[in-house]
This record gives sequence, C-alpha cells and structure tokens, in this order.
Amino acid sequence: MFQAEARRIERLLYRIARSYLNDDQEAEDAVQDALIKAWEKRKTLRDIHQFKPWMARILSNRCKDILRKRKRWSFFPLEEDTVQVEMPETENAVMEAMNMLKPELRIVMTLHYVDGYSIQEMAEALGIPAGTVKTRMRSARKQLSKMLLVEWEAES
Amino acid sequence: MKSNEFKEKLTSVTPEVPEHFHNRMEMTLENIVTQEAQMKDSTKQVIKKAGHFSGRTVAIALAITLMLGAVAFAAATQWHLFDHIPFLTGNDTPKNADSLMQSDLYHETINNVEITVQEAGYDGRTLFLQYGYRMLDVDIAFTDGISVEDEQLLYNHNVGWWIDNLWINGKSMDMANGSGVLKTGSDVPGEIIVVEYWRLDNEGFSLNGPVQISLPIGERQNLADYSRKNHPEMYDVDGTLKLPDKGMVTFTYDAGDIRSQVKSFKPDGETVLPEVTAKVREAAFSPLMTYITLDLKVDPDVLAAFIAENGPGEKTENSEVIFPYSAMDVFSKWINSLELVNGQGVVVFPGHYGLDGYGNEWAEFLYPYLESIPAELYLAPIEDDVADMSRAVRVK
Repeated sequence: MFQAEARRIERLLYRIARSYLNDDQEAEDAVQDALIKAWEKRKTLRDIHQFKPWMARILSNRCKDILRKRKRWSFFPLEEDTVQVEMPETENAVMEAMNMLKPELRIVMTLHYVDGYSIQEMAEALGIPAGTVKTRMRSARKQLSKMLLVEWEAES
Repeated sequence: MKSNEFKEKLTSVTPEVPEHFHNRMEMTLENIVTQEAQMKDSTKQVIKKAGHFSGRTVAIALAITLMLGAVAFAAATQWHLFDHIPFLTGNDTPKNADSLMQSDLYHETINNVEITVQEAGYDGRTLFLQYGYRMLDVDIAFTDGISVEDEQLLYNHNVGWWIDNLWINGKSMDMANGSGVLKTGSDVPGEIIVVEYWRLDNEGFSLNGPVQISLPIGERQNLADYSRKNHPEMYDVDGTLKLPDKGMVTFTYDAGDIRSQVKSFKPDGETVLPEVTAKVREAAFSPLMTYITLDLKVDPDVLAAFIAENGPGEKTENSEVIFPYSAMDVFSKWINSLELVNGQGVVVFPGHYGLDGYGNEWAEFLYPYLESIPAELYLAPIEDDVADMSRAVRVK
C-alpha cells in the first residue's frame, strides 16, 4: 500500500523537491530521506486518503531542512553545480523568473501551469488551505508580471 | 506575454521526472519495505552524492624550467587527483603524496568505454580515488566540464556507478558523512574523470596493508536483481550486500601501515564562552590533511534567552517560522569566524576555509597537511585580521 501510494505521487514529489532545491541530485536525496521518514512514521497516518498531503508535508519539511543546511554549510561555490543549458531567450527568461520566486510560489505555479492542478487539487495535494494556494498564486503572478510582463487571463 | 504563452514556455523549461530520479525512488521504496530492520542505520546513507560538483575543469599544469641555458619540461604534479580538491588538501600537491598514492591500478574496456582507475590514496582517514570513463566512440573532449547530456552519453553505454556502495576486501560500505564526488572532463575526447573522497573513518573503516577495493563502475546491472526481497542469499547476516559478481571493477591498493603515521591529539580543557562551551574532541594530523573535531554544548537557558530575544526562528514574509532556532544558531557567528592559528595568533593557512560543517553539538574543520606541527595550535575567531585568543579553543 505504502509503495503504491508513493509511486502514484512520484511526479508531485519531484516537483516539490525540485522547486525547493533546484537541483536534481539534492531532490533525489530529499525524496529518499522523506520516504524513509514517512515509512518510519506510517503508523501515524490514520487515513490513507491523506497520504498525498501527508507525504508532501514531510518532503517540504525535509527540503527546508536541506536549504537551512545549505545556507550554513558554505563548502564550495554553488555556481559550479550549475549546468548551463542553451535555450531560446524567452524560455530562459521564464526559467530565470521562476527561479526568482520563493519555492512555495514556484511549486503552485508549476503544478497549476505545467501539471494542470486546480486550486482545490493543489490545496489537497499540499495539505494547505485553498485560500493559501490562491494567495501564493496571486503573489507569484504579481512577481512574474513585473519580471516578464505577463498579462494574466481570468481563470480558476 | 499572454498567460497561455507563459504556460507554454514554462512547460517547455520544466524538466520531466528524470529516469535517475525514478530509479532512485524505486530503489528506496524497495529498500524501506524489505529492509526495515536495517533501515534506520543504513538506508539513510545508501546515497551516492555524485554530481554535486560537476563542471570543474581539469587543470594540468606544466612547469617549464630553464637550467643552464638548456630547456627542460617537467610535470608540476604527478598526482592530478589533488588538482580537483584544493578545498581539502590545499593548492599544492601534498608533500607526502608520492609515498601514499598509487597509479594505473585498473584498465578494462566495456561496451566501448575504457575504464581506468588512475589514482588512489589513503591517509589513515580518507580514501581518495580518481578514475576515468573514456567513451571510445565519442570524439568531443569535455573541456568545459560535464553536462547532463554528457552524463547521459555515458549512461547510454550502460556503464557507470550503478549501486550506492563500494566494497573493501569484499565488505560493503556506505558513503560516509563528509564524503564527496566531483566529475569533470579532460582534453581527451570522450573522457569523464571522477574524483571521490570517502571518509572511511566516519563509517568505522580503516585500511591496513594490501586491500582489495571494488567499485560498481563497470557494466550497469539491474537493481531488481539485487533486492533483498528477491535475493536474500546475496546479503550478509548484517544485512549488507555481498560483493556482486557483475558490474564491478576490483583493484588492489597497498595501504601499508599508514594509520601509524596519523598523529592524534585530544587536548584537555575546554573553552567556556557565554554562548557555548567548546572542546576539541580530536585533532588528527595525517600525511595528507588535518582533521579537527569540536564538541559543542549550549546551555538550555542561553538558547531560551536567544529565542526570547530573536524569536522562535527565521520567518517567511507571512511570519511562518521556516527554520526554528536551535543551539547552532547561538554560536553560529563564532564558529564561522574561527581559523587555525599558532600560539602567537598567526593564521596557519591564510585564505583556507576550514569549517567543513557543524551541528548543534559538533563542528569539523579540515585543513591541508601540516609539515611541522606547531607546539601550540588554536581555533581562534579572527576579527580585523587579529586573532582573539580569549575566545579561542586549544587544538594542541
């Protein structure tokens, strides 16, 4: 059951970890740690239908923990981790603008615009109130508007 | 830009779930269900922290020496491994490298990839390795470092590190805390060079005399064939995977009696500061590096006062506490200001950032080899280029 539920949300887990950490290797580490923690704590999950937000919360906390350590463990110049990918200017601008957002905002924008989640679906998946999702969407759109001059059409 | 266009662009730049991520998650799920008994101790460390430091270009320096009117060429360093890890061993090749390092330890061609174990060394604490994959059907040199696409090229040859452990004398070992991996290219077409440093001491391993080191860097194997659930016979009684008979590169490294060359000190006394009490747990001077570990203790009342003054933690704009404060926040400024100084307060390794990591109760500092260990050594905070010895911790 645990394995099956986890497999179902693989994509969501990747999105969350990638949004927080912006690094595939660290995203893998974070998801592995979160899965282990979730497995250890699985008896505290009373309703399997809550697996998705429960797991998302555990992973988010793990990512924040990694960010905290990253902030304080200044081993090496981070730019050496960066892989420069050639891409058209507008795509590059979108990626750069997204990277300027806080992880929480990046997650909702990615889930909504790339994976087609509705506000309610994001709220359920991330285990946060729909109002919080809306606030984050508004905040992200506002910031992206400044950076990319996006004209948001009425939706959701 | 219209929102539809934004959606289109964002979709095009957002990566799909990578195959490696999927495989790692599958392996984790397999492990946590079938190896529950071993989980708490081992699985968390069944992590190959590769790829973090890719992009570093190999710097091979040639020294040109003029002697009595004649021109001579000499290699600046025989041991290229150290060119990649100046943050550990300093900018110069460690003086004792020749006596510890061994080269040309393995050579084999698999799936049109030439695998060579180029250099290996052990200083009584850390195992250093440099190996290379040369794709013989690739005619581009990765002189600007390794990209995701370059790694994918190697993956397409079905060769490369395929499971998380390495084996020493047939015994599995997880990658220990403090270990790391760097990948880079070279001016040889199709060549990817990997440098690894494994803190064997953090896993309780030490090498003595000739040892067989086995790396899973040959032909990639199906991880499902190595699951404990399906193949319990492949696991030792302690739950660790026995040495696989496929996909491995095994070579012999003679560690000699290097452990006896590590000088270890455990000084008495502690430094009591308002924010923290610090003591050197151990200062170890190996023929390649200097390792200093501190034990740290913050009085609960001091932490409580810190939180009362600064709040419960770092907050987001919405006042949500994202990072609750803990002991490490109380001494953060002090620990980050420490440098290794001699008895006169003179910095021993100017410009070398020694703090390797710290937690609520510990910190580790790493420095290059010290040829002549001063009679007195301290970790002292430096302010305005002056060591404050009143807030220093005695190392030796």
